[in-house]
Amino acid sequence: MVRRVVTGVIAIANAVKLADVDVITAYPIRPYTGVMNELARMIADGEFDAEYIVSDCEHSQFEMAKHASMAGARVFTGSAGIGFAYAYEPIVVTASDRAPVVAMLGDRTLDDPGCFGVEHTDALADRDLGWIMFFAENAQEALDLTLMAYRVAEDARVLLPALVCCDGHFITHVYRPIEIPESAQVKAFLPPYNRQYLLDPDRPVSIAPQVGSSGEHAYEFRRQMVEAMGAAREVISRASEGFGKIFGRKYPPFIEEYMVQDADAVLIILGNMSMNAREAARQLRAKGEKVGVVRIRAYRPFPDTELQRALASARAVGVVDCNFSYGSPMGGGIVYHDVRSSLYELSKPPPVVDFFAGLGGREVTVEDFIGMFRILLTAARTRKAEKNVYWIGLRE
Amino acid sequence: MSYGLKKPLPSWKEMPPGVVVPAVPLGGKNMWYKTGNWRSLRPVVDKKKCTKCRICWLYCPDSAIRYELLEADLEYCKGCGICSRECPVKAITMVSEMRFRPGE
Repeated sequence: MVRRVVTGVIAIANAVKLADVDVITAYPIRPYTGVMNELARMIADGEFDAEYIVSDCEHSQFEMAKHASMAGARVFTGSAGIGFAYAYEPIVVTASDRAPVVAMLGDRTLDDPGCFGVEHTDALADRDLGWIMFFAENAQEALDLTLMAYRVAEDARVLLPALVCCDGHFITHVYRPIEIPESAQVKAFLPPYNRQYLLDPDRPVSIAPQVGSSGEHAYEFRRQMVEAMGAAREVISRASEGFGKIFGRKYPPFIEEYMVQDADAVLIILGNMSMNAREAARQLRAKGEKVGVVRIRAYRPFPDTELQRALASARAVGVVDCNFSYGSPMGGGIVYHDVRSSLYELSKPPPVVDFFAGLGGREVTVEDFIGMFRILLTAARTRKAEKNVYWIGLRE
Repeated sequence: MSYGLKKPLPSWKEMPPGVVVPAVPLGGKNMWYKTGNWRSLRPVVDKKKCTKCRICWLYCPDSAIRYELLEADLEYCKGCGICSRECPVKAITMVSEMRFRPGE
C-alpha cells in the first residue's frame, strides 16, 4: 500500500492500472481528460500495458469499448457532461448487449451554457438504460468504486456496464491523500473476466441481432435486464464485504448514514457535497437538533429498501438535487422523485422536500445546508412541508 | 434449421443474456428473418453479359447472391444495389419492383 497526495483523476487512473485493464478507449473532455492523460503517460512510461485507442468522438469511443468488452477484454473508458450525451446510442446498446464496460464520468454541467462545474444530470439522464451507477464522494472512493465496478459489472449474474460518477472539479481536480492498494490485493479481490458468449470467429454467434421482424424477443429481453439489475443488489453487497476484508476500508454497499438513527430531519445527497452537509449536521447536533445525512453511493440499482429502513422514523426528509428535470411532477429533481416514490411504501411517509443546489458547480456551503436543515426541522414539527421545492443559493 | 430460435419461443429465463443466437453458418439461411420484403429495386442479371467473375457474390453484404446460379436470392436480397455498382461488365440492372407482378 502506497500513500500519495493526488487528484481524483490520478486516483482513477491508478485503479484502472491495478485492475489490469486490457483496452482503453479515449476521447478528451474535461474533467475526464485528466484520467485519459494519466493512463497515456503510464503506458508511454512502460508502467502499464494496455491497448489504448484514441477515438474521433465519444460515439465511436463507446462503441469500441462495447465491442472490445464483448470480445472478452476488460475495458475502461470515460467521459463527461455533453460528451457522454453524444455517446447515447452506444450507451444504450452497451447495456443491452450485456457488455460490462466500466466508465468514469466526471460529472459536468450539460451545455448550454458551457460550464465546467458539476451537475449530475449527465449521469442521471441515463439512469433507466441498464448501467450500474456509483457516485463517489472523494478521490479515495473514486479509486475504490472503480475496482468495485469491475467486480460487480463482470459478475456472470450481472454482466452490465458500470458508471463511476465523480463530481467534476470537486473530486476530479482536488488534491487529497489517498491509499493506493497493492496489485496482489486487487488480484485477490478481482477475478478474471470470463464471458460465456464471445465475439470469437472460431465460435460464431450472433449477438443481439434483429431477431424476428416483429420484436419476438425484445419484451423478454427487457425482463432479463431487470433480473440482472436485481442480481446486482446482492453482488454489490457481497463485493462491499469482500472489499472491506481485503483493503481494510469498509463501505456500506448502498447508502452511507450519518447521525440518521434518531434524526427528525434527514438530508439525502449524492457525491461530494455530503462533506459540507455532514459538517452542518454536526454543528446542529451540537445545538441539540436531531438531524442526519444519507449519502447514496449506488444509484442504480436504486437503494429503495435501504432508504425505507433508514428513514422509517424520520419526520421530514430533504433531497439535494444537483440536476434538473424540466417539467417533472412538482418541478422536482431526479433524485427527489426516486426517493419520494420509495418512501411512499412506508405506512406513514414523512414529508419529502426538494432542494436544488450547486447547479453549474456553484458552491454549496455549510450555512446553505444549515438553512436546508432549518426548513426540514420546521416541516418535521408540523408534519407538513410549506413548499415541495426550494432553490438554494439562487440569485432572486 | 432453427438457429436456436425454436418454436415455441423461449421464455425470458431460457434466453441467453444479450439475445445470443448461434450464427447462421456460411452459405446457410436464416429461416427466421427474411429481408426480401424490404426491397424496392430488384437486381436483374443479364446472363449474356455475365462473365461469372463472382464479384457480386463477394460484395453482397447479405450473402444473398447464389454462388452457382449467380442470381439474387429474392427471399433475402434487400435491393441495396451494391452488386450492380460493383459488376465490372455492368451485367446487373436494378429494376423497380413495381415492374413485376405479385409472385413473379
